[in-house]
Amino acid sequence: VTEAVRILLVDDEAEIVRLLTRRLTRLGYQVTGASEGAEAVALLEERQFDVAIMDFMMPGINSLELADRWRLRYHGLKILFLTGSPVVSDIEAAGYPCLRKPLDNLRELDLALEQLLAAPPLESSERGG
Amino acid sequence: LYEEVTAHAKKLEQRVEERTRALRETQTQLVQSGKLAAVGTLAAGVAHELNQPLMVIRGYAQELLADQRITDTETLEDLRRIEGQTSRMTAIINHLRDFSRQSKGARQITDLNEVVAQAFNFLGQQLKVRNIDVVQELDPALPPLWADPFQIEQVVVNLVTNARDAMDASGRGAISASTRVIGDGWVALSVTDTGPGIPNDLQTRIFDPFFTTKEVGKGTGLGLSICHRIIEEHGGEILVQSPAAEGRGACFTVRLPISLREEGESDP
Repeated sequence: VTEAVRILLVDDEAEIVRLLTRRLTRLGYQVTGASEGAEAVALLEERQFDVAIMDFMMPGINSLELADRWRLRYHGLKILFLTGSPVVSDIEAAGYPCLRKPLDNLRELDLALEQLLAAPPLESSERGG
Repeated sequence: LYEEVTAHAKKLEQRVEERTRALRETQTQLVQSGKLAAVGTLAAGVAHELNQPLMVIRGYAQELLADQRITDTETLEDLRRIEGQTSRMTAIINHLRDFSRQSKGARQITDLNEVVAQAFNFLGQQLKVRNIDVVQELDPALPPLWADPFQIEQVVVNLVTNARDAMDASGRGAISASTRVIGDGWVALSVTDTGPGIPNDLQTRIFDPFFTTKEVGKGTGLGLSICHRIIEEHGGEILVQSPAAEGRGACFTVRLPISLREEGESDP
């Protein structure tokens, strides 16, 4: 039996964290939820994750810059954005996969995760173009 | 001398009247633009805030539908209803989003006739099912426009959809679309229906956001406001005339400038 993929789910909407945790756990992922950036950082410092699913705003911090920082600091961490704001193209231009809220079907998340896990990790040079 | 003075006075009066009318029109347009901008901001905020709870409701309905432990058909049917209703809400939110989108679409050389044909292609089946005849009178000599074809198509689809809905109650009908050059560097597109028409007192309000005469749940009242905004962004105008002919129908005319391109830009 392969080890479960460890997911850090950061969303400032507690109900979304609860819903997605339920779904992803049912699908066999090992999910840890966090409702804000500081909590997420504490978790990242404490243990290893394979994927971070992000939808949150940290005052004064650009989410993309934060994603870059995390990816470099926590080696091997893959990042998936989930957002309700109309910045999808910026995120995709930066090389990160991004799902738009509201998801029409939660299956979209399953598929995005599968694709992300199958893809090679972003190299540090790939960002910033 | 008296006659001369009277004639002058009349002329002056006429000019004041003309200017007043022009000012009033400008004011109306400004109020309209202001209203649209304010509502756009509101709409973007509402759409964003509603997304989260909507996704939660929809997500739980989907989770429960996938739950093997729930086998009762009535419960499953109810869950499907919940999911179905959230689809409607998503559609409304997307509509609000389109409305509030600030970005100017990507402009390119656009064949208005092609856009019109595309829109009818898209709606063709629906019109056929409702026994609505389509007449297209597209001027083959129409010059290309510098426009966002997707936004313009959105306008045409909106106008045709409204025309279709106007005729729903009255049964059989026809929608005609025509394009033509109207001199001085403008082209016009008219969409005319044979529905009951738009009463005079409503004609000033139909471009207002959230104004609708459709049944609850049938329209958000944003369609024509979106059209208005898109056409305004393209430097054009949109007008309504009703009755269109023989005391019936409505005719929406969109006027667009032929070229907004910078001098020296070359064809791709």
